[in-house]
Amino acid sequence: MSSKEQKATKPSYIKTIKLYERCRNFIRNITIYSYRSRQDYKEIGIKERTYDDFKRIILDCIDQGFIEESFNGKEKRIRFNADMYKSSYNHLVNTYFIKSLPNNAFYYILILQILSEGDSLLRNEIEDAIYDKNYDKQLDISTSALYRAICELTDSGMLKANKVKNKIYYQLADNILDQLTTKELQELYNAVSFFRNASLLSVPGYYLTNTISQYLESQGDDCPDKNSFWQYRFCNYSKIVDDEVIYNILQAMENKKVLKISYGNTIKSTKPVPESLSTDYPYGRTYMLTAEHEVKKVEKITKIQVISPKKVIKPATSQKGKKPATRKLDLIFTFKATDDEREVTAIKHRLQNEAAWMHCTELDKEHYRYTATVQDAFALVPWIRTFHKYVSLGSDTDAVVKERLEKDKREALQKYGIIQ
Amino acid sequence: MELFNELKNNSLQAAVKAINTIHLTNQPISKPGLEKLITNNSSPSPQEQRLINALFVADAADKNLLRPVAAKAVPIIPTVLEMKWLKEMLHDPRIDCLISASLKEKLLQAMPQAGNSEQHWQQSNWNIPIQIDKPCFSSAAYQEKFKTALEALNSKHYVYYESYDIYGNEYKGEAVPYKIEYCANTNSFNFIMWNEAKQWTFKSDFATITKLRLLPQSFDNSQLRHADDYVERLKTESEPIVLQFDAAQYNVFERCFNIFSNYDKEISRFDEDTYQLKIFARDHFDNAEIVQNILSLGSSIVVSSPQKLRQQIIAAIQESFTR
Repeated sequence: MSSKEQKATKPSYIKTIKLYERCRNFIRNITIYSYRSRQDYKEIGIKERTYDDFKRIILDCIDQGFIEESFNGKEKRIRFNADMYKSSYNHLVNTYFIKSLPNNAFYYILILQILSEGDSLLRNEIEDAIYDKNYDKQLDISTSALYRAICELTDSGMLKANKVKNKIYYQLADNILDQLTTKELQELYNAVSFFRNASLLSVPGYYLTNTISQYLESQGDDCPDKNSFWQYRFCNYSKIVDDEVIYNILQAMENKKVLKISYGNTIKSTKPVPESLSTDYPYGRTYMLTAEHEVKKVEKITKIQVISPKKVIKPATSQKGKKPATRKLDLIFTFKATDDEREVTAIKHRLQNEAAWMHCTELDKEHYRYTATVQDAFALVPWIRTFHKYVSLGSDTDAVVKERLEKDKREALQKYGIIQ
Repeated sequence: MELFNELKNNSLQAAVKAINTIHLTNQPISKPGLEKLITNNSSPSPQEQRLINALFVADAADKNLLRPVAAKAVPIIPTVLEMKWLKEMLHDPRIDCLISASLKEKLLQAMPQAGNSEQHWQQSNWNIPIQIDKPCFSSAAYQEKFKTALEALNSKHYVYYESYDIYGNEYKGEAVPYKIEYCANTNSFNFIMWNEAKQWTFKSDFATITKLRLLPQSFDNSQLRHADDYVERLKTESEPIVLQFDAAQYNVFERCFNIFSNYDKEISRFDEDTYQLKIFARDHFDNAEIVQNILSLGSSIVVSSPQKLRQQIIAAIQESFTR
């Protein structure tokens, strides 16, 4: 191939990424804060060249129609075009399909093909088989690269290793999909399609739907439509960009390890012990709850920069518990005969579902009292606001919460020009 | 196994797909065709070129065509990561609505027993814990309705339904099954159907469906396209909601973007701290939810238009102030 031809076929940019973490912040930005231009990204620490590279990668891997470039004056912006009514397929998952390949990635496929008929082979037997297949091609067969590929496939659970008399034999792992009929595979596909957007981790669900779909295709069966009949409310698309971080936290929790994290703009790392995860849907945020000190520490997952599980944690011997501070919440709901009947029904329906955890007392036909003791009453302020005129604060509500809500109402009316 | 994994790389997966298709059809592929598949229509990178060179050879009968080096299909096996995720799914209380008991049993038996399936994940709505194992999910009647809906969607058959809403209105009739909507906030499912006669889509919470039967007559994709067009029209015919907010206020920037992140929207920046968010929602379906979201943000945002919504929000705050 001439150098001219080589130049013509060589892509002008790299289409893959080595570490997801590097572009996580950028992907979140185009998903949520889609107004930002190249200059705006520079202001938040993403250099122009990096912006150009990331932009090309994203435009390349996300299907047209779901990502678009537009102009705001002279400034170009890219935005992720999401509409759950149109597509329940989260196209951001495509950013997980662009991990850089090693030079010898073909080994993965050749090894699986060689072992496809159930043979159990030694490493050197696999190597010989690859050499035979590629004799004419005169490929450089690298023993170390081949071994790495075997280890990777074993680690991924696609191969299993059996030790017999100090020798390790490799064979294909048992395949759960082989045991299912076509109808069952399609039934499973539908279920996985639902859970992939409604689970703590989405990416493995997308991997699994792809696997089932490829499996069906390899058997000559119809491949299900990737945009299924599911539709979601409050399952935030952008949550998927944090899957790798959440996965690492889950690994640490499962294996009783600590994490080494950098948080927000702080360079200094800390080593929290993750205890549980929590997702609040209206904002689509996930939090890590840690058990470092007496009081659980809540940290926003989205701002974690580096995660590296370090050492095994000794089981806690005692819970030196300082009881977390609590506040009283006392809400009075008033429904008057003059109120809109449909609105009242809707509010009462919501209360049945959303306030079932509170203690309810019927004061009279028009007034209902909902009380509870909560750890963080401020966290419930946005929820309380959604009941607008129907809710007022009872005498037991913490004075600071009361003051916050009243002040906020005054400020809102000032902004709308209703009061001075 | 790492979550962000080269085994799931697009080009590698495309090579697997090409090999298996050739194996199944016994039809070799042209070089440009293979390159298009593996590179997603761009020029091959050195790694992609190497994949092509190592895995494919010229066909003996036609040198312009390529076929796999090894004449065997590539086995498709779920990874340990997928199996672990599947195990979590099988322990989810909603699973019995989605798959048959026999399939669940079969999968559970084939599942590796090792590993902790406890996820330590709490889900909340406005910081209020959501009950994931709702009693309805384990009710046989609820599961049956759900499976009828799934069957109707898969086999494209009309359904007969009877349901009621929270206001006490009763509904019944024949309809085209369109979609199933899951609301994470309430952990509930709605069955969305297309009413052919009235040319509109409507939703019924599965909990309020009293009867659901599969009908013998089937429908084709044109019915679904009509429903799609109707849903799209709801968006284009609804006046966009324009909100203005001051990002200098504590946390408002992040909260506002996140809470409306699932809507089609346009954002513009007026000055250093003032932003305008234009939301293209479907008034018919989204109004109640959007009003709640706007109210939850309190004084952080101001509704510029539509005037009707602006007045609705002002009235709600004003009445709560004076009541």
